[in-house]
Amino acid sequence: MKINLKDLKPFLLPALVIFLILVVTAFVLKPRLEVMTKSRQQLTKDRKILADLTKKLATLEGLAKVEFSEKTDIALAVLPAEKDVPSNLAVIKNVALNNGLIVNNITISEVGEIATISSEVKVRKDVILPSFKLDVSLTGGLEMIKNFISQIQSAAPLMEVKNVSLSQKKTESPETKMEIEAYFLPFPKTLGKPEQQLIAITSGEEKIFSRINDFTFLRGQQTLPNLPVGKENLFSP
Amino acid sequence: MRQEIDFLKGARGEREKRLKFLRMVKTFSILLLLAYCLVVAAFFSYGFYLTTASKQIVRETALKKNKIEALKEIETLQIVLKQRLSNLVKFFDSQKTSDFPALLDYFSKTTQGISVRELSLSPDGKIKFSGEAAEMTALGQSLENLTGEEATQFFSSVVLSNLDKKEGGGYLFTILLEAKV
Repeated sequence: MKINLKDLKPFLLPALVIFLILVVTAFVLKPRLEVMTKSRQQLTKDRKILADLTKKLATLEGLAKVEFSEKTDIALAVLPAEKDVPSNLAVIKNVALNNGLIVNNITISEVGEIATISSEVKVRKDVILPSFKLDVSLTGGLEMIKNFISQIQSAAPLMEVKNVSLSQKKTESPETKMEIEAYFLPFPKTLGKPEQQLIAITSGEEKIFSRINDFTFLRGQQTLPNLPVGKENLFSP
Repeated sequence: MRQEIDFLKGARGEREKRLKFLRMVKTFSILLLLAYCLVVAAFFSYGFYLTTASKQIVRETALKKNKIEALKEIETLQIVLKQRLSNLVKFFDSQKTSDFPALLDYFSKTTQGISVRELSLSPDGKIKFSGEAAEMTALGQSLENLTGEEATQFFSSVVLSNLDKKEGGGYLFTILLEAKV
């Protein structure tokens, strides 16, 4: 059977159209479709990020800087970012003196890393707040000890009395040995990432804040005693 | 009556059908091409929209990030405060230690006429109380106070573990108590 080319001429246009559609779809649209699918997914992600950022910005703009600064200062005084041994010692000494107690001895244990790697305190997962121990020996009456314990537990920095052992020999004033746990909390590691969402302060946390706000802050009062280190003026008699 | 006979009628009909079919094919091809062009145009328009929207979002994101950066100080304050308060909530919630001041207060009130030799309190609530009483009545009164109705809010168990009479008079005793935590 002989095919007449003249007969096929009317089918040239449809064939050309189908060929064009196939070529454009395969080599232009298909690769472009993949790119567009990815950019659509990216756009959805970017929109979510933008929505989160807008929300965060609105929250941040709504926060009062002065108020937060004051609150954070109080929280940092109660829970210092690192082991603040001088401050703990000063508070123990001040509270003891205010209650008429004599401080016989203070032994600090588990301070370890302070001089070497204090900037990177490793906090165990099961521990809520890292701490170190202070063994304190005091001389004074039961009433004074009672007041001392209650005041030390409501003073900044945060301390907790763990063991109390009071003993008295016949005529002497009672001697009390106690174990005090002093707490601190290193700064969070992810501080101020723009994408990180702000978690609002809950009502429970507000209650805790009002509790620590009532703590006694002894900073600025008497700190460690000045011990004589020799003559300041060598020409004085 | 005269009747015309068209001998080409069949062939003409075939030709017309074929021409009609070819015209339809041509029209359909053009319509298909037009429809495809529309699809391609819509496709590229959507692509253009995606690019523009993406650029716009990137610009806005950068702007918001800059604004957040400017407020970094207050954000840092909020994060530090939140971290401390949330840990304090957990800390105070997990605290299960005896109320030492209240216990000491109770001991100082209820042990009149007794000289305390040793009083040790531990966070798990175990208390060891050793003392000396000049008279049995004073010791009896103290024991009564420590086992009375008011004492039940402080202690879950009170045991007199040791009682010795001194040669020169007076009594030495040791009481073991379990405070409620």
